[in-house]
Amino acid sequence: MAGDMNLAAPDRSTMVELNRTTLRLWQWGDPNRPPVVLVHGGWDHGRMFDGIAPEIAALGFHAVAVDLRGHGDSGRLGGSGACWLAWNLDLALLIGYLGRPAGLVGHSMGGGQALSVAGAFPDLVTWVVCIDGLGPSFEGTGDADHGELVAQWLEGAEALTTSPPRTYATVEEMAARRRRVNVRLPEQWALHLAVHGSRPWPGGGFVWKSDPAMRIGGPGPFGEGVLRAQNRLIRCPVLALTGSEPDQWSDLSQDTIAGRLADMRRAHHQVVPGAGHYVHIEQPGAVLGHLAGFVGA
Amino acid sequence: MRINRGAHRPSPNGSALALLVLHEAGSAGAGGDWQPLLDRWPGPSVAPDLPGHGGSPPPDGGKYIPADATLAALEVLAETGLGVPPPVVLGHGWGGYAAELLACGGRAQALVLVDGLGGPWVTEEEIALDQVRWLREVLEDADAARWPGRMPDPLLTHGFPSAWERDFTTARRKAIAAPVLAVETARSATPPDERGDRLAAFAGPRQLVELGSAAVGEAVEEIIAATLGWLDGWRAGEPL
Repeated sequence: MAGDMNLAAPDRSTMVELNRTTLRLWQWGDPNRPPVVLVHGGWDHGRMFDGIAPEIAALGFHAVAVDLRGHGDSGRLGGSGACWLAWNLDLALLIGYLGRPAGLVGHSMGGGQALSVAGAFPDLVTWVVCIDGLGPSFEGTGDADHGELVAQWLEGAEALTTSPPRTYATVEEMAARRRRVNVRLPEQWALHLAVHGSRPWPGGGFVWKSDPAMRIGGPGPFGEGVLRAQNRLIRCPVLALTGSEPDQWSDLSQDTIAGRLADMRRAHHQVVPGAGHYVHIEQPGAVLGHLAGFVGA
Repeated sequence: MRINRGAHRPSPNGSALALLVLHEAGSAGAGGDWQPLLDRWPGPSVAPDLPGHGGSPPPDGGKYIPADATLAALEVLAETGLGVPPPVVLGHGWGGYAAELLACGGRAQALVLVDGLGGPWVTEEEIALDQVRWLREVLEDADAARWPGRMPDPLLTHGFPSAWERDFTTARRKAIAAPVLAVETARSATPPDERGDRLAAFAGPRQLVELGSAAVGEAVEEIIAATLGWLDGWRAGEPL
């Protein structure tokens, strides 16, 4: 049933030091089985896969959900939040740490990371399941006022060093805040994400674990052309899953989706009924069915 | 970020323009290389060691993007009080890109770009391919994955993937109305026949000085002379 909470805590958890940072890993299944690395989206964390990771392990894989740097229990971002290439390297080195090429399951920004890593390091990635992570819409960005954008970016960076993080009285309040943004996210899931995505603040209350530097990004010429050139480098099979329902952060037109997938040599697209952006949370059974068929499990 | 102020000259003349100098990526001398300019600048001045250089450790997590130098500069300006009114910002190479961003955001009264007009133009496809080249190169370098034991950080020897896309760069420069002096040495990555056009993209007054010196290290005195001469002309109300 849509959004049902059927979660299994990780079998194991560890911290690994690589690429000058520390990454938290959440693991399910036999470490001797082929690895599947699960990559969350921006502001999320590895425990968002507590629903499907144990099921992927049951298909015969070693499922490893990572907290990306700047998220969850992993190391911080440092300078600005625009560390796309550092995340690429973290994931490539993580696959090296796991000892053999991996399948990648990525959601949202994590889906984009999975595709980037597959394009840059084809020998490390056996397949990708990209859950509503084909990249942002760039419509209208060509007319951007650079002066205004850079001024805002500088002000945002200054605010990070002068403003304390936003605190919440309770984790339940954080979950409610999350649901105001992600209106389709089931209440219990919002609470689960808040419980594992927050920490007590020494001055009282709770703060999100995600690094506030995620807010500031960095100015650069990233657009449709760069994204599609990255996609043309991908050689492994790709399964793209998107939800049928309008939702926050699901803003690509069908034409854009088709264009981006056409650049990949072996991509297949499935629209999952009854889901928005969080396809694997809203319709875990359908996602697992598609994934199992895709990997031949 | 922890930033070493590097070379710093507080305020010989409180009413004079302040100067911020941002050095090149991978510079062994870091901010200290620009001490001769600071010594002759008529106002307060600072040339910080940017993250991963001299006395400034890498940022938390040990990764860099080109814009990190801009954020480091913001911290130095806040700490030294040289950000209000906005200073003249001189940037060399990577530091030039950082200086350009400060100017684009209204944080520089004037810009001096030393070999800072950018590398050869690249298409969006070439941006993607250069990122992949960079990723593969860095993945093969064990020193780039370890916390550095020396400065400048070995990771910086790989530089940055090119972001010199013509339309994006030109649009950014059109948003910069501050006066710009571009000083180009023979080591500049900008194709010689493109320098004039690239400078013309800036919206404000601009001047190009081309030096025959092979590299910035050999041209410091000439760069200082060009910068101070330009400043004098500006103060005298001469066209820039």
